[in-house]
Amino acid sequence: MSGFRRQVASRFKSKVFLCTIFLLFAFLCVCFGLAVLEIFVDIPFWVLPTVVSLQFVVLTLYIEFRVVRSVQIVGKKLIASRRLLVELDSIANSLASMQSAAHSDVASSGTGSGDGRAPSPAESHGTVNRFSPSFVEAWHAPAVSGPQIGRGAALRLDDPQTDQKLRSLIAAKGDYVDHPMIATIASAALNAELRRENIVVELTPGLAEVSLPEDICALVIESGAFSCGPWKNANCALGFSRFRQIPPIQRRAKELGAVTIYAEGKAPRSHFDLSLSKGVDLVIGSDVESSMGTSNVNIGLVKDIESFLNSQGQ
Amino acid sequence: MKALIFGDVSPLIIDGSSIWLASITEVLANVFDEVNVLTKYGVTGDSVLSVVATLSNVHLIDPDSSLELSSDGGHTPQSAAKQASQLDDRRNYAMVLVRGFDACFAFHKNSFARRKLWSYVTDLPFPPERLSANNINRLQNIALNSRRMLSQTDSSRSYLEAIAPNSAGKTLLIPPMIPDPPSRAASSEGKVLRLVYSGKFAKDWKTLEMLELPAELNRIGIRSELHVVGSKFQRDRDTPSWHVRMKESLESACADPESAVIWHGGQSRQVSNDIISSCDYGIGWRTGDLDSSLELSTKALEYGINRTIPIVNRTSDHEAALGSDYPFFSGPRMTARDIALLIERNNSLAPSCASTAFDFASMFTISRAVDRWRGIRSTLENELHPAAIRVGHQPFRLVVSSHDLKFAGEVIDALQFDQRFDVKFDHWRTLHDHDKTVSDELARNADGIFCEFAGPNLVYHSKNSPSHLKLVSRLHGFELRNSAPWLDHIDLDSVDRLVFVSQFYQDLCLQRFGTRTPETIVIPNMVDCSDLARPKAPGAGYTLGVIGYVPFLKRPDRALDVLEELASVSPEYSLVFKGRPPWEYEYVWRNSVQRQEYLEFFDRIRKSDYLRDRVSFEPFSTDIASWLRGVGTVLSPSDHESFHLAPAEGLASGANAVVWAREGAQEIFGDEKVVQDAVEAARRIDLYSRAESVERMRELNSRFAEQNWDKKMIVEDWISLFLST
Repeated sequence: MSGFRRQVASRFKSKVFLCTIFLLFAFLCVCFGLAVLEIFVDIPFWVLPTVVSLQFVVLTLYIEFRVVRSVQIVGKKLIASRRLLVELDSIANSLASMQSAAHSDVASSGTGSGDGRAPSPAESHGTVNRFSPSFVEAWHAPAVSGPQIGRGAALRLDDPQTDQKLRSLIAAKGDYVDHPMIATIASAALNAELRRENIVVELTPGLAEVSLPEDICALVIESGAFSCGPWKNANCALGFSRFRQIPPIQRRAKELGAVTIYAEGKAPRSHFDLSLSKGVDLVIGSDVESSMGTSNVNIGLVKDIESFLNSQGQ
Repeated sequence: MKALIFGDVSPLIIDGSSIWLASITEVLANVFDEVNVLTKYGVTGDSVLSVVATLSNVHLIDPDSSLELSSDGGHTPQSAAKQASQLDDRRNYAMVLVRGFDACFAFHKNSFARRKLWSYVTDLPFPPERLSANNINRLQNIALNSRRMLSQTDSSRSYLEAIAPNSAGKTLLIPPMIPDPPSRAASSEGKVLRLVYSGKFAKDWKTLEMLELPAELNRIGIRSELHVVGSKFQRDRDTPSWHVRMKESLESACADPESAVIWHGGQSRQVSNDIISSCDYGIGWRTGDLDSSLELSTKALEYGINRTIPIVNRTSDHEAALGSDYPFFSGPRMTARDIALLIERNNSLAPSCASTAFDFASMFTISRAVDRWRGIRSTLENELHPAAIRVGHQPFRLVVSSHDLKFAGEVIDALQFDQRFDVKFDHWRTLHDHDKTVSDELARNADGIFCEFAGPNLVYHSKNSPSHLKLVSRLHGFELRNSAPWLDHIDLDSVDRLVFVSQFYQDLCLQRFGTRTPETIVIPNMVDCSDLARPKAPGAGYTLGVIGYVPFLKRPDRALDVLEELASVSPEYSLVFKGRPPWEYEYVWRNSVQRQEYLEFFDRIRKSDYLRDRVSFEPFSTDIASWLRGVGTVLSPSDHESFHLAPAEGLASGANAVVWAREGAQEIFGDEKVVQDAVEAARRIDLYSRAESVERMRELNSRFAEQNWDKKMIVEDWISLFLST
């Protein structure tokens, strides 16, 4: 209650509030005065409406003025809050880079696996995955205006974090997860194959989108997954409820910066397969013709999937 | 052709800088039609410039007293710059050569600077702890606004280019100059050993300690004399009374016949040389502080050219000059007795050492300098083309239209300094975005338009520019490789010429446009061979270099394959990636596939002890010529390139180039440089490194580059492309 009282008191103290009360009071006084006067004096019939109209105009103007002021104040507050957001963003970035620096310091101090041997995926106990799309942030160099000629055209502000980023990428030791983490909707055989070099997160229907880790560097969808297992028939009308869970996963994976891959067997494509393959970065097929520009891609995972598909003879 | 020289040095005293002023004047007088020397102080009587002043085409110009001079009547850098500007208005110099940091900084503000100023900053902030943001900024401004920068040695040039990137590609060497070899004076063989010191008296030159040398030699049974030439006593900041003590010691030693020290006082260069040539050993012993200089000691050269054996400190520069086994190297911590023992121990080797020192010094004679400057003059003549500009004839007004001029630096640089051209820029903010009003205005007042990249800029100008203009465009391959949609919108009838950097892309264009193709021509990319021809650093043969490794189609992974292949041959090989890392190219790093490729590339290095110990990354910088000094083989493993300047620059530097087979590669680099895979690349590299005649192969590589891509030659093709009717 005391809070409410304070609020009311502060309201009363406010000039705006007082002005409004005063205007209303003056309005009522004039109306009352005219009414009383009419009892004793014969006032022309047009006086009372004219005075009331004038008062109404004054009140309207006042209200309009207050509304415009309020809009301005709200606008300023919005701008201030946007600035605050930008600053918070910048602080967050700084914290991220400090975190990255701290990791690289850990790397150089050698608190990791010790012998320099990369641990197997199962042995990875670090806290940050080196293959996470957010492990190293892109550098946005300020634009240079005017024509820059020759070598000078390439002169621009360097990323001040480059040394730390480089160190964290090639340091032998550190508190890192040294194997790529990938999410899959794949057959058991492909999952087993991929587990040799990767940390595999098998997505299950119903939980797929929520269980997509932020550190994944790739999402692999294999048409073989639709033949048996939890995703069976997701590429046909029969399993439509499962199918429609997949595009949001693809979108989420892309938002995270992961490479999205569709691994296609030799079985004839359905419309659903085609739809899924359109939403990915790379399509890998067991026959070369169905591969979508993967011949120039130099990613170990892609090569592994290609050789798996070829060995399966799908 | 006239030249103006200003040195921020006093011609009234004899020291290294005033002698340099006399020497450069003498050299330029042999090269230019007229040489004006704007002196810091008025020269009346005898001075170091007296000899050159007698030359018919040399004019000494005193400070203009109407300007705001310093309190001692000499030029301030600002007043000198102002007078030089006035002189240039009247005499139209082809070159204004200025020495000294402050003077260069004052001169760089003159309107003639970009076309004529040749800046020689001798007092570079060195060692690096003396660098400050202000120094770097001043140097960058000087370099940006000078036509040329000058450096005394390769080391100082590399340092300058590293701290002031604007100087990269425009810095020439101006080695120290010494008089031509005199006839050797009668030697004192068998009698008294004669030592000489010529120069200023300074604590760092150990001139006080060296007065004990004759006594120390006498103690070990060698009769000797020390001849001392010089009159300048340098104050020492840490020991204020040092110069007084030095003078007193010298005077008392000279007065004492037992000391065997003979002081000749200040002498002209001629007399000083006569004294040096009559002696057996020249003393260049000094403290370690001077050893860290980037400049060559003229003292050692003057001793050498007179066949007097220089006793100088062992430094990397001196070892490179005299050989690591040269026996008369002193050290900063040695005493006079140590120097005496050094002489006693190695005296029998004196004749061969005198010959070694003479051979080295012979490379720095005035005659050699004149030859070098004649070459420079001919380049200057090509650039200026004074004869081509006739009175009443306007230069060709060329508009360069592009969003990206990084490959056009050499062409534009050449055209901008050619008086036959008036170059203006139609700058496109991006490939598609420009200011139409500006583009139209520029086109209306032009004789020709050069569209760098056949992008939307060519579409626009082919449709909107006046039809009488000469419209030329250079395609780089990306337009054709990616089947750019705008190609169909170009009004090909308005295009006069399409330029390609290789035959392969010319053919591709002919296939694309068929009979509608305008006239085409292949003009390869160019390299500045004279800038790139620098001596290789020790161990360069085992260093592989990759210049630029983004995007991933440049295939940095193949370079790792080569290094691993070479592991079985020699563990000495290392690999350096030069350039911006991929995360500094935002569009690349936001591409999930490419980012993953790079993450795996870096992880491959991380996982291999062998690679981790041998692979390094260096940031982008403009001083490629300096960087290539440390590289023996430049790799070009890309999947696609329309030309690839890096191996061409590598060859010009004398390095080997290994280019992966790709479209057009053989035609540009020849079969010898193209390989199919890492195994073949490793075999070629190993053969090259093992070759007995590496120097010969370096020469061949440089010549190959010169014959195919040298700037001087290619620039002519561009000029005739625009000027031909």
